[in-house]
Amino acid sequence: MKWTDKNIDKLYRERSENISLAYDESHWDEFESMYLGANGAPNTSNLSDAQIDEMYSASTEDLSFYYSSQYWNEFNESYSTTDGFEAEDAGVLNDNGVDTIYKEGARRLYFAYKPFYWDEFLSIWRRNRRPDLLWFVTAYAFIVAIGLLFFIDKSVDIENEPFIAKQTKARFVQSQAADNSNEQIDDALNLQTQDGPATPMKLSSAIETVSGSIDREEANDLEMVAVKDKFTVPLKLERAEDQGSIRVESASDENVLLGFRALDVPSVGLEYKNPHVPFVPDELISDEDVVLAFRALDVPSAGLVYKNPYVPFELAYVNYFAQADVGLSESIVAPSDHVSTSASLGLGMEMNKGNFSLIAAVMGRVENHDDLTLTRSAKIYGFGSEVHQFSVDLKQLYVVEGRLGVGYNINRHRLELGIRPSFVFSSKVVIATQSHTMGQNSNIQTSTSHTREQYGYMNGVNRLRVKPTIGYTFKVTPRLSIGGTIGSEMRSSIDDEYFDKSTNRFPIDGEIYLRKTLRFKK
Amino acid sequence: MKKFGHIYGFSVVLLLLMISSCDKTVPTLPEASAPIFTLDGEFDGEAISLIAGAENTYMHTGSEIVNGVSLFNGKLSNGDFSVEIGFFDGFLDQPDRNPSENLADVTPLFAQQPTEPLVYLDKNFLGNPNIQSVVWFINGVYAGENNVPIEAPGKYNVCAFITFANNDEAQLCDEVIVGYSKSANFNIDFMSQSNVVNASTNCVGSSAHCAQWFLDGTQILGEVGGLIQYDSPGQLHTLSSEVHFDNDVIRRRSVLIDEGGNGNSVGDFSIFELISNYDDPYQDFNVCIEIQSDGVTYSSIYADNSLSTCDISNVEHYGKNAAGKNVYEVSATINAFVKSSISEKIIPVTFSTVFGLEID
Repeated sequence: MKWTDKNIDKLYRERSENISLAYDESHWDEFESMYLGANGAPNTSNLSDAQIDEMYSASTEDLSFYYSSQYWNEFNESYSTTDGFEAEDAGVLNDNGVDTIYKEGARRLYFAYKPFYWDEFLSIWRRNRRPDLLWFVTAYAFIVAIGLLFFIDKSVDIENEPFIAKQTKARFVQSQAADNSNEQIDDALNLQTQDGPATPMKLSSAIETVSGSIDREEANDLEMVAVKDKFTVPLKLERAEDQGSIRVESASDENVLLGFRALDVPSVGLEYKNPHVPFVPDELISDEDVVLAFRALDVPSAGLVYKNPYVPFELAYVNYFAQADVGLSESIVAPSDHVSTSASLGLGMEMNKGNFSLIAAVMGRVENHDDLTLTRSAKIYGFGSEVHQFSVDLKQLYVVEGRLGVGYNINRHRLELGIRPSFVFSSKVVIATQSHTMGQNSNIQTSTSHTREQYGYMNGVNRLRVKPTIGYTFKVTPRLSIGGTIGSEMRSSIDDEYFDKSTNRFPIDGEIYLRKTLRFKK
Repeated sequence: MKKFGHIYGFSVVLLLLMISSCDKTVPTLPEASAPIFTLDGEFDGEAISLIAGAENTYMHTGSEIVNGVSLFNGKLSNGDFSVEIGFFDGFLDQPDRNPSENLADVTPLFAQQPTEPLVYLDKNFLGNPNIQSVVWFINGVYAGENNVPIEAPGKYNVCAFITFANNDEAQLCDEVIVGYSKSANFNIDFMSQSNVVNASTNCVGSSAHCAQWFLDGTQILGEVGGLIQYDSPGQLHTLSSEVHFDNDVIRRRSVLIDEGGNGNSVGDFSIFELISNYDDPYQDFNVCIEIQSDGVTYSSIYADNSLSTCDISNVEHYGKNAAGKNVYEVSATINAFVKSSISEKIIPVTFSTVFGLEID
């Protein structure tokens, strides 16, 4: 029988199955003979049960376990004598042999992500979560803090702090950092064996030094980037001199778990490497790609904030987008049974910081109206009368609209609050002129009419508008969103006196839009 | 910076759009005006309102000649209901009169239909016993023989076709104004001898500064009060005189002169003006109302309007009507009675109006 991992595990299980903590009367007999007298002797002790319990407790407090090489020898001998191991196999089980086995195991150590890891995490997290209000307050405070850090640390020049990210096929790249980590493990184990079990030891993963196989599906562009294949995390042990314990750096256990979850997508891999690692990228991807990749992995929503101390990399970034929308609105005049329609097209940008997004856009907007008609007539009295009349029907208003908004992202959902100042810069009107003359004979009325279209007629139209909105956006993909907004115009859109109509104050309008993130080639 | 190139480009396009979006104008309209010709009041206790230019109401204007005198009228009509107001001309012996000015200065009375003839055109008043018979024509229309009444005020052109006892025939036409005021008048005094006519004008009311004489239509020399001596061969001649008075009255009279010594001379017709028994106030600028409602005509001229009133507050020129004649806006308040042409019912009518009169 060889000392393979599998055999060791089998052996351990078999031994552990034989361990029984069931009460055995002989235990009491041993205890009684030790403190109260020989088994079967008359019980001459005057100790009460309470005193006996106290004595038992005191004795258990004194329990300690000291490691000794003798233990190992006994263990070694027991294998050869009781478990049937051959002598030649047992001969290699010295300290060095175990160390070698451990080192090999450590090199092969990997964590394959399984879905129940996440479920397990959620169950833990849900048990420990705070009330919703407290959670949101904490989340907002966290976001504000991150935002403040972002604004304060303006001196970081991302452009001048290169980092290297690479997309490659699924293959493992053994890095020097991983070797260094292995060496640290060896050193740590050596220290443990030398100092004895009195020094607590803790293993942790340093996600910053992750080096793994990363791949990226070409067909899915930037949106779907994730870890492919297995992912190797070198363990990092570090001794804290002053506290006599191993100090864990960087990510917490939860973050490690989240990181594994985030990085484990079977079909796609991402390899990230900082410039301090001798890593030769095959192809560069932009910082936006990396950010999108992490966002695609739901890292922000899981509460994990990635921060590499070696790379001044910020999660805040700017996207440019094109947007088209169509909408319906209540009439801007009252009373009216008509509904106005609109269509917009424009460009914008959104700056993301944490879960917040700042959206700014400029849209060209066309509004279609059916009831915005101005009628003017002049009646000239005499022997009869002449009526001269023209009507200006504002069929379309052309608006340039600025859109400012703040959004809060929840996974693929975003809630937006915004304000939209706009300026009506032109219009399309249909002008109809008519003349009626009441003649002398038989009171016959004659009329003539002409109709024509004209652009730019702006009389009676209030050009400046302001409209607050509330909206919702769903990210179909990281680069394509659909959404809707509801708003109400705050200012009067027309001159009441000019149109002889009343302004419909605060008309409600709604629109749906399609937003496509643009990618500019550098 | 390339990223922002798109934004810059878009901004430039928007800027150009905004610059090009200057205000455009629409067709200008003529200045509107308030109604001009209106009438509001009551007719037979019912409110009436007419506005020219509204609800198919039109201000018709025109004038007509009634018994040789102009009747300036205007009619507000919507087709179903109409009110026509007319003013008779006045100061008929003054050719240069201005009725619009005269109308503003007078207080019109309502024109009345006389109850008896104003004068009879009687051959006996012609003062020649040799006249056997006279056939009268008034304004070119046969009116009768020998004794023909004139029943309404007017300015008539009366022609007499005279047959003398010796069967000589002659025609004498002269102007006769009855029922209207006259500012001056005259007649021709003449005496015919062989080949010589001694004629003069006898002016009343105003002095004359000019007289033009015509013999058989041909002007001859003569003075206002002078002796006309003119040798003309033949039997009967027509001698006319046109006198220009200092008060702008111009009248023309004609006489028939018999130079044949048969005594067939006939004097002018001024006698009929003198013997007219028209006691009512003259009809100068008198007003009359005619209302048509539901096909029935109501007229003021057949009702007793001796106590009715017509107050004219303003007369001003408005413009020309479709016929090119001058039209005046006349503001008036009228209280009167009209008489149905069918039932002869007398109906009160009261209204204030601004209406148009064609005075040209």
